[in-house]
Amino acid sequence: MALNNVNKVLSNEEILQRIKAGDERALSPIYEANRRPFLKWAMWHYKCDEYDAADVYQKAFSIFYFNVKDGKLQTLSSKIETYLFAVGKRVFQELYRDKHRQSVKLDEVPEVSQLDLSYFDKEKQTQQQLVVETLLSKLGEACSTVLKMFYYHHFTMQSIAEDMGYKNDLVAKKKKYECLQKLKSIAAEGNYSADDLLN
Amino acid sequence: MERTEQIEMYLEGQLQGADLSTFEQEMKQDAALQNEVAEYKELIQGIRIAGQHEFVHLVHTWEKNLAAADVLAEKGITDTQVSPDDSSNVMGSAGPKIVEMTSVKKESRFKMLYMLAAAACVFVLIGVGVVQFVGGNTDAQLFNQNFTHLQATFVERDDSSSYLTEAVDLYEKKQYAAANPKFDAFLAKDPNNIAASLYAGISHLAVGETGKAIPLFQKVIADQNENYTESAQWYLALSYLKNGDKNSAKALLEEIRNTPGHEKREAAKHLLRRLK
Repeated sequence: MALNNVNKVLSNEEILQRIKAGDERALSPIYEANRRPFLKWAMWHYKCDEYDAADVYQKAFSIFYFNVKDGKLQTLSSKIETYLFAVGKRVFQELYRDKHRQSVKLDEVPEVSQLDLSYFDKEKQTQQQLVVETLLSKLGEACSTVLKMFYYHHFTMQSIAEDMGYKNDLVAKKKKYECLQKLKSIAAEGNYSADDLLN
Repeated sequence: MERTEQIEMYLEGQLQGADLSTFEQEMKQDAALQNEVAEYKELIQGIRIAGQHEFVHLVHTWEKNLAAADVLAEKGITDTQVSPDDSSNVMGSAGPKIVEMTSVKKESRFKMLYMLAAAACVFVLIGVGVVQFVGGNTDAQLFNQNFTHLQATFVERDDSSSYLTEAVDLYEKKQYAAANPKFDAFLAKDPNNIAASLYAGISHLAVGETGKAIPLFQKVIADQNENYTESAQWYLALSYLKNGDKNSAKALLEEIRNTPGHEKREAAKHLLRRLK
């Protein structure tokens, strides 16, 4: 669908649907529109500089996206801006625990009470998982894309087939299987450690 | 393929009832299956983490572009000059954007007043003969204020590398000039020792030998070892400063400042403010 000619303000549901469908063009305008208000709010309430505020905004925005993409945020009772501020508040509390102790009052955003912040918890990521990121680049672009489409974006086999130009969902499924096996064998053959690959 | 599918269904919580019980029972009795399940779990989670990292990188790029546009806007360059046609904007954010540019212009006016006030202060200072003080805040002074000794924690010293042992001993006593030939002799034999390269670079920098220090720091950074890279970036920036190469120093300090969690981030922010 061509988005260039869409000249209307989308509802929350439409935005969430587009994001979940992998339409990244819907994201950058949201990022830009809410950035300056967020930075001003964060700098004022948490007495931080613009760089820390921008760090938190990037994290809050990424968490918003991951939660939508993973189906953990399906409806939103507030404006996206309000949601992002509430996530930002949690990020300040959780990830900058020692640095920013301010208590900031915000409108209640029920969806944030169940928020998954673990995306930025590096302690929960194993060496093997981090190695996979590098191994994917050794797989070739098609394989890497298919695996990310399925396991990261949660796209259906049908939509993967359409995007990748495969005949049907069965071909996409077979391709995904082959790519996963290839990844598994590269990981096993190389016996890589994260240090080997990241250094 | 069926086995893999079954494992995936189990990992996604899609196996239910009798199928789930049978699979779990099989796993209990089959260590190879247990390993296979664990392996797939790691691979799939790894793919997800890779996707997340890609997105975080994309967001970081947006932020860098917008921050750069802010800087240009502050300098009075208009929005249309710096940003391409954003026809993919489906959120109707043209409104906030216009408001934003207006507020930037207002801030710029205040900034202009501050600049005029600051300029007036400088003239007053010149008038009372304190030019020495203002002009004295040079790159060299900033270097001296920011250069500190880094303890050689990571160097492994043993009998087989007496040059290194001697070099590090002298370095730790801050006898840099004496330490340098020892470091050089050691690195001539073992140029890939990254820890030694870092401390040798610092030692050379301490006595103003930036020509020797800079390639050493560059080598450490290229090696990408997480124990040394951040320190090497910081000392490389100081080396540029010492050389009077303010642009290279600023570029590197900005990179440090923009790296979340960088050990020298606060120091870089502080130094950048002084450099402006």
